[in-house]
Amino acid sequence: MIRVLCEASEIATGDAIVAYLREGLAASAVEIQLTGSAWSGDPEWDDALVVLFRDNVANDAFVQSIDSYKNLHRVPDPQSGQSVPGGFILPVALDPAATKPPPPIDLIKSLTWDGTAAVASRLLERLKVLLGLALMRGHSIFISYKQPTGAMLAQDLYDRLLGAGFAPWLDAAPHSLPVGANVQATIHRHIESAALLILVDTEDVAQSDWIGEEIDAAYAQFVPILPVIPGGRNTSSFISVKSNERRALVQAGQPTAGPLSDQDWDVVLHEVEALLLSCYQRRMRIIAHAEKEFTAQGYQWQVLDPRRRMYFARLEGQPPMQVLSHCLIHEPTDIAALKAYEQYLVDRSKATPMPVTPLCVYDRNSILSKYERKNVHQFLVLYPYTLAHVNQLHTIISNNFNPRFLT
Amino acid sequence: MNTPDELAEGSAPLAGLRIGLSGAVPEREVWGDIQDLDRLITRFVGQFAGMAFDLGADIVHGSHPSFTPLLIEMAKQYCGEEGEKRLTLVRAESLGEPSRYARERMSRYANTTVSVLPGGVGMQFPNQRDAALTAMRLVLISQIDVLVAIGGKVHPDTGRPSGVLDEMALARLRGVPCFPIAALGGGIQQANPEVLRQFAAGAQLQPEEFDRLAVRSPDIDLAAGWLIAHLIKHRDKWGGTGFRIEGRFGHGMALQTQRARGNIPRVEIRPEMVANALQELDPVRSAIKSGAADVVANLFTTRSEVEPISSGFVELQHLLLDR
Repeated sequence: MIRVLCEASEIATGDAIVAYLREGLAASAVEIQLTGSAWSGDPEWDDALVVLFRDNVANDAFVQSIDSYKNLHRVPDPQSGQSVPGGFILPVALDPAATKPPPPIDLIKSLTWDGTAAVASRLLERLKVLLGLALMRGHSIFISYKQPTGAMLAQDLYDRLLGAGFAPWLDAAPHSLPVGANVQATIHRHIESAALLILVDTEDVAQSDWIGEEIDAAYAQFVPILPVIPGGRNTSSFISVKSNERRALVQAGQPTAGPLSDQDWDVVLHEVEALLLSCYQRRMRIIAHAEKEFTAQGYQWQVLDPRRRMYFARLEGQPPMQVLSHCLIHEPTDIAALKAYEQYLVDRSKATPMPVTPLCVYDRNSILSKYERKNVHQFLVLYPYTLAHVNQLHTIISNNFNPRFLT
Repeated sequence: MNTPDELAEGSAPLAGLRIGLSGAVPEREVWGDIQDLDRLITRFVGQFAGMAFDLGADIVHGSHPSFTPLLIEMAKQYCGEEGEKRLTLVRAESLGEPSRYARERMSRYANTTVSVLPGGVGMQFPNQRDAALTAMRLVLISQIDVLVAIGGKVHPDTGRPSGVLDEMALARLRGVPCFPIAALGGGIQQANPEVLRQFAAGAQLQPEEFDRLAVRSPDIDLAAGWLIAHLIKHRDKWGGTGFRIEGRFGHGMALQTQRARGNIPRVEIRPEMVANALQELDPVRSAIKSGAADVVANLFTTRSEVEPISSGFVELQHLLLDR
């Protein structure tokens, strides 16, 4: 759910923005919310708050709405593990002379609204970037660096990412690996919270065993790595990252890594946004892919409930095959999302007693491991169904859902 | 080789199939209109490896630094509980060692083989890196039934031949069926589609199936699934090329002693073998450059013969199967 928060006096602008976003974000609901009201409904993966403001003076109603949103959308702090207020917020300035948002969102850089298609498009893209981040397993952007050479650049990246509405986390490598600790397990758990790892790629960074392990863990867990390479070099100090074709080259001609110029920051931000946007766009293709796999094998495809992503596929034959599919946008280990589909099946079976093969299709970087499958299926007791990666569909469908190919 | 019906009786659909995985993320300037080609390729590798392991297959890979941690993680997730090692990583000794911690993970979840050109021999080749990689590729190819190739560096600055095409060529010259995923671009696309069809001959692909893997489309995210389904469907066709390497295991230590100490098997490759392989590649590289698909077809109809070094040496495949 995307909500556009505004004062009653700005409702016309709010409605215009809602209309534009509804068209551009077909898979998400978009609504207006007036200041003073609390966020209603349970938190969803695609929640974001677009906040319209005209000056940088906050009133109680404004603060109350934002606080209620942030408290409902708590996120784990990567360092402490405690849950802290969070949620995606995108401030939009209605007056070009007052672009700094009021507290409590004064640290986030705003977009200035002028009603043009260009700005509307930029707003839509920013939201998709945030939704792309929401689709990654962790939500934090890790900034990995070696002290002392990378410290200033790392801090600047942190401040700027915070200002852009992200949740950065500074990750200084220890001077030496802890003795006796299970270092690999520690690093792997650590990396699980990361949506993206930004590597402050100073010349000496490859001397850090800790960062080397973080990079290996990031590759193993599909966490994208973006090396920010200062000082005129065009390749990473790490051999494994050298072949990584994403990089941000900054501070050419500068002998030491320091705060970025605005131009260099634009280079970094462009890389971050492009990556997250592509993640969002790829995940949204799951429905088209599922439809393609079924229709290519002779099924007729019918949309049952677009908002809940429910589809019906039928193959004529004796007996006919009927498959009720849910295209899952979430991670396939999200038990709440899986149980919601299970409940849908239970309710539907009471209303429409028709034999169907129930299927939940997901898309992520890898298929569920045996351990993950076992863990998930112990929660699905009311109405068991098949959980399949979109890349498993071809085999499953062509083998008539033979359990041997479901593994 | 089991028929699909025999496989239906209970074994995993791809049990015993040894799949080589070749490739790399291409340079950014050749990504074209796919803004996240790097992510697509790593997703392909992760999803394909996961499904392959899950369905009983083995994977063999040439230790590319950006794919290796991912493949080890997949091996851990899908084979780790069984205690089996169905991932084999082959690397050239002269091209560097993994980190201490990487080696620890590799020893837990993968077999490793190191290919070695005997000391000083590398110097006789004009391009030592090429020679070392060729030796590694020969060892890799001796351990696989099929080869899947994706992406690959293009080397626009140096004009070096594409490593992924070299690997496929060496495999095809030894009768190993190849699957070039050209739809994701990279070094593979240095060969035109008609030449690539010759690389894919023997892979049991219908023309439209080849096109689906070779031509860029919005569905290319599904390539891993299509390929797995194809491997299952034609399971009885894979395997038994007969190419093997009989190598000398170095430093005078007995083989059993090396394994008992946990040492990684090192395969010393005869320089003549590497020189022959490089000579084989020359006409293939020229034909790729000129787009001469008929020449490539003729070259691939010849299979190399392996001459044993002498009696008494242990076959590499027997060594690796001895878990």
